[in-house]
Amino acid sequence: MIICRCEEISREEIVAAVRRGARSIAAVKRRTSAGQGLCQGRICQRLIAQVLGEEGVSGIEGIQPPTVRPPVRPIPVGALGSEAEQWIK
Amino acid sequence: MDKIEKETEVAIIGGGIVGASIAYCLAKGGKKDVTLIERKELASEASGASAAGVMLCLPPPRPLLVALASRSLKAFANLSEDLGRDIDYVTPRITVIEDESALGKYSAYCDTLHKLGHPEMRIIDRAEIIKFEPSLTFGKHALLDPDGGHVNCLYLVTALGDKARELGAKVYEHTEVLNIKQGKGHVKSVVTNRGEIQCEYVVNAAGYWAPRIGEMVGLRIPITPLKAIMLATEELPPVSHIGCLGSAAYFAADQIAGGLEIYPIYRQMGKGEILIGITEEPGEDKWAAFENIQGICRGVGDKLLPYLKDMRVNIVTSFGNLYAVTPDRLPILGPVEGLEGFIMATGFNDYGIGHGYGAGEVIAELISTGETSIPIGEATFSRFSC
Repeated sequence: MIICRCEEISREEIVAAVRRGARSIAAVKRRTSAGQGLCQGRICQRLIAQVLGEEGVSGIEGIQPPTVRPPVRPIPVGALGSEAEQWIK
Repeated sequence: MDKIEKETEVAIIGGGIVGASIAYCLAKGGKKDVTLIERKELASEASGASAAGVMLCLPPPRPLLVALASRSLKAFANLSEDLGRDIDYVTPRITVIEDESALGKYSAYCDTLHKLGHPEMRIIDRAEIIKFEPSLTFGKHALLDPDGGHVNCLYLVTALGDKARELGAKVYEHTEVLNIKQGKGHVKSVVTNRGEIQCEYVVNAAGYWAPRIGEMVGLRIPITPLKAIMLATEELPPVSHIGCLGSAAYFAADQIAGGLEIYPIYRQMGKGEILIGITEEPGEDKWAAFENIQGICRGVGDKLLPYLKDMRVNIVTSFGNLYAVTPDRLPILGPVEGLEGFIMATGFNDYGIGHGYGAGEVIAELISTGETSIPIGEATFSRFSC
């Protein structure tokens, strides 16, 4: 079953990352790219936390969300660049 | 969390490219009584937010750095197989020489590199540039670095740490070194938030935290943080066919307040996202402010990759790291006089991913045999005590 839809990362890949040593959502992300796609983990984050729990990772480390970084939603490169006038009305 | 062992032979402080490389090389070489201690998680600092560029040479050529980079690049060719994880090593690296008057300087760099045993480094002209990268609309000349390019630093560093663990090393994450105890002129133990660990060697591979570790043994380590920000686009079909592109000229984003320095670079990674950047400024945080994001979109997006506008490509995230900058831009490597067992392995400025693995091999040699196959005398800590 696919856990991270944006990057098409399966449950098996996430379990493999946990068994290799990942103990947090961020650690899973670093090993698999789950959560690095277009939605930046909005959909898969809780599912990854669930898998961590099922694999025996207890405590806050397993559910702590990774750092949220700007932009909060995708923005076109041009909107801040040479096309700014068209975008900022 | 695992209980920590009270003793180890080698305590490595810092779970980035250098620390993880040392742990892996030692464990692979049979020295298994190694403990990698990381206050957060593997690849949580600079190694986890790197621009991912690897290169034989960031000009001007310095023999020690060229030697370390050469080791790293040779290793990258086989590491995916050895680690059981694809590290997305793609070549070449092309550095566009925008300022034609700099051509003489770059030709001289090539001559030096040829004398250092690297005939593959050369200047290429426009016709060859567009053979490598058809979409590049500017640049009459470039420096071609055939074995340079990019790697996925997250995959690489976590895979090094995970493999070290698999080979018998201990990897303690969420473990912070609070103090280092000494005996008569030698290290005795590291005191962590999870207990004390007796050890023969302490390796300071702590990046911009290295001065904090140095204070614990009475050393003033001249490392200062430099804030560097990158952006990542959404995934795209292959539009770039090289490992990485850089521009030889730093330019200041004159439209942006605060005088951010921008070193234009981009690389398209294995899954298709393009990493663009990079802003550099004094700072102690890793947050991409609006000026950083705008500066990169204007200075790099518009200038280097104008087709991103036409394709309506989105910026999806930003990331930042704090470089460990040294006064002479050389790393700090090797033993420290008067403190037996304390080994420096840090200060990799803006070239950690490309040189850190080679340094890891050399430090592992030092610990295992007492000798190094690359002379590191010019990079020891003693150069600062005067």
